Amino acid sequence: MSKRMQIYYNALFGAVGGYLGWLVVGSFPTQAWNIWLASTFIGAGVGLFIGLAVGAVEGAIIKRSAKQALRGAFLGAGIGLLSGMVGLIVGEILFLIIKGGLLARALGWMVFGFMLGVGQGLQDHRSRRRISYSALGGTIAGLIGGLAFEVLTQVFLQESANAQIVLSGLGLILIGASLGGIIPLSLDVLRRAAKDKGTLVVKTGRRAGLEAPVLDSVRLGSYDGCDIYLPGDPSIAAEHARIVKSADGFQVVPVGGVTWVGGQQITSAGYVLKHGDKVQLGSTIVEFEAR
Amino acid sequence: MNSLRTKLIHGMCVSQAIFAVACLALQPALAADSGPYDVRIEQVDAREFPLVTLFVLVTDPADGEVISGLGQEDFVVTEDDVQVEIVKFSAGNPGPISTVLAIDRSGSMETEGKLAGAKQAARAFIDQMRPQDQVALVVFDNTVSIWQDFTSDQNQLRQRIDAIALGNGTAWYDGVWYTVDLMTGVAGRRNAILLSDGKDLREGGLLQRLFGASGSQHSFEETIEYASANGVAIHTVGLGAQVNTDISDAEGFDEERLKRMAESTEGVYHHSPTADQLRQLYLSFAENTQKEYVITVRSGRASYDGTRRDLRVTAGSSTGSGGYVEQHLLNVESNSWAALAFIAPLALAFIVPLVWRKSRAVPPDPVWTPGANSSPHTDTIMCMQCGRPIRTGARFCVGCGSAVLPTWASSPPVSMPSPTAVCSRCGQLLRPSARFCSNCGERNLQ
Repeated sequence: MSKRMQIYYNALFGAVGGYLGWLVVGSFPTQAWNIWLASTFIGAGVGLFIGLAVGAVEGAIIKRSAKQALRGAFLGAGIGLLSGMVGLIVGEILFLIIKGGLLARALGWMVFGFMLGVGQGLQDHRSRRRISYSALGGTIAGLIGGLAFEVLTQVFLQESANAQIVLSGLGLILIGASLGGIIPLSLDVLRRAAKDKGTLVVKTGRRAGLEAPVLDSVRLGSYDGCDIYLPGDPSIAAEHARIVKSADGFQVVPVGGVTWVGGQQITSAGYVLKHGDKVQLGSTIVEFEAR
Repeated sequence: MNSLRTKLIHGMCVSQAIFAVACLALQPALAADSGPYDVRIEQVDAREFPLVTLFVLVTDPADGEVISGLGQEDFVVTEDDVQVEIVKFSAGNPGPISTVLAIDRSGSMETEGKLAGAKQAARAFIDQMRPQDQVALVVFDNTVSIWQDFTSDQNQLRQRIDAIALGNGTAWYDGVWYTVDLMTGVAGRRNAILLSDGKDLREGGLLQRLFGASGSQHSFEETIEYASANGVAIHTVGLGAQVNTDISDAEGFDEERLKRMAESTEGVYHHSPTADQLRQLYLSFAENTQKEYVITVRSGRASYDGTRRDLRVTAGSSTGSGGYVEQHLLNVESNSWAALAFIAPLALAFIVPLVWRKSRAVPPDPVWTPGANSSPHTDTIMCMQCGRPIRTGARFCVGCGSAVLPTWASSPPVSMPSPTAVCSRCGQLLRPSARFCSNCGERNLQ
């Protein structure tokens, strides 16, 4: 699957998460509650559903593994619940300090988005770089969502009772879509700007056409927990090889199976990848592109 | 007949005149006080939104005396310039009042009987308490303490006031912070009065260097933000004759900041040049609050949209203004119609790429033939057993004879025959049910 389609599905799943969050959380009469109780509940609920949906997308769409989708959904829901709760409470404090308005709304939503982004980053990967990318993505999503929400609220001020229903739904779908889509998008954009960058493209086999960014380390194998999951080739080990970042660039290191590059078998010392190198794992070919 | 009619008309005119005079006599205060007033919204409580409660003080601008005795019909309340319905009104009965008296006990309070005056003023305030009211005491020098938590026990409060002793240094920003802490969660009319005769040592100065006094933990700006966020109006009182704005000079009190604190939190700043005047000031604090009008209105825009609404209260020809922010940064409401409206485009977004991909898909080669000149991919792969390069399309390694899995063929792989279904003699792919090879005639048992 191309990067563009991955971003599309991430955004779409995020939108569905926002929609579910709106549907479920919005069915509770939180308006009548104390503002801090309401903020805790709304933040946790919305975070849970967006986290669940975005967490499930890789397993469901890219890896097509029900186990991975469920695992991602559970992890995403848990982290989303916590980060959403903290994010909306801090955002609400800011909102009240500034006493409302465009700046307050944008800042409040940015904090909410930032925390959800940090949550996604924590769930997705281990490196600080990835967390900062997704936090930035979440903050931008919050900014867009908050500005749109406030502007539309002011435009439809006279019909605000009905507008609130539609706007809260639209706002959460938008923030869900932005969070889902903008995190892989920002990862991709920032990866392009990075000095060391790369993309792996699966050329053969059942996953032919799959593109995956290389930022730090990538695990390849037939185990569905690998970053690049290569099912259907019995000659590929559970964790077959790994791409790691070294001082010279990205290096391919065999882990559980024989790995070839350009007719040469790679030893455990590894091999520094150049643009256009074709890595063979079992009978599957994965091309490295320095872009 | 005519004379009778004349008498009747005459009688009616006389009775109307008498009625008019009686009306004027019965409403002298209202007629005399029909304006101009000084109308001030002291507090807005929107926690029961869409019901919003306003605490309104009406005074005579000439002498500052409180105007009481106005009725609901004398007030007009607007929200964002639209008149709103008054659902509840009470004059001179603002319900329980919760007051925090924050008192400076720095060393300088010893001079000119300032501490004694402050204590006397606080006692006078306590004397005015009604049974339903409660008061808390915060005292501060270089450190702050909650001297007495909220209580309605006047004797207890008097004892605690008597026990206030002189200290050293001033940390009045923290005094405000503690006051706000005490007010958090307190419902109804809230009244916070802070008295200081000095400057906060946080900003430095001679005293700080000499005694190592550090002043407040919280900065001035932080404290304003904290009070504003919690909606606590801080009334400040600057005590002493000397008004000194030089922050690094320890002498005098910080009038500029006491003023800013009050204005930024929608409180009022007062200056009391001598301690003797404090008592009268504190008495007026107590009395004025008890004489406020409590007006509860229903918001004309009862949606939880987190927008600011401006309020205006008009009595006679005078208007007081205030406002509040509906508190929701994010209000989430759903209903089934909107749910249905949203689901359609989301479902469409799932379907479109599937349809699009199907329409653009290139059908794969139905049968892959070993040794064919063209192959789906030109990438060279290596034999897993001996490492020799394998010719494109080859089914077997020419070096060791190992079977090669046909994974270079593009998806879907289901169209490929199983790698075991090849002729054991020539390597030709076999049809699933074939018993003999179509190429060399070799018998194959699948």
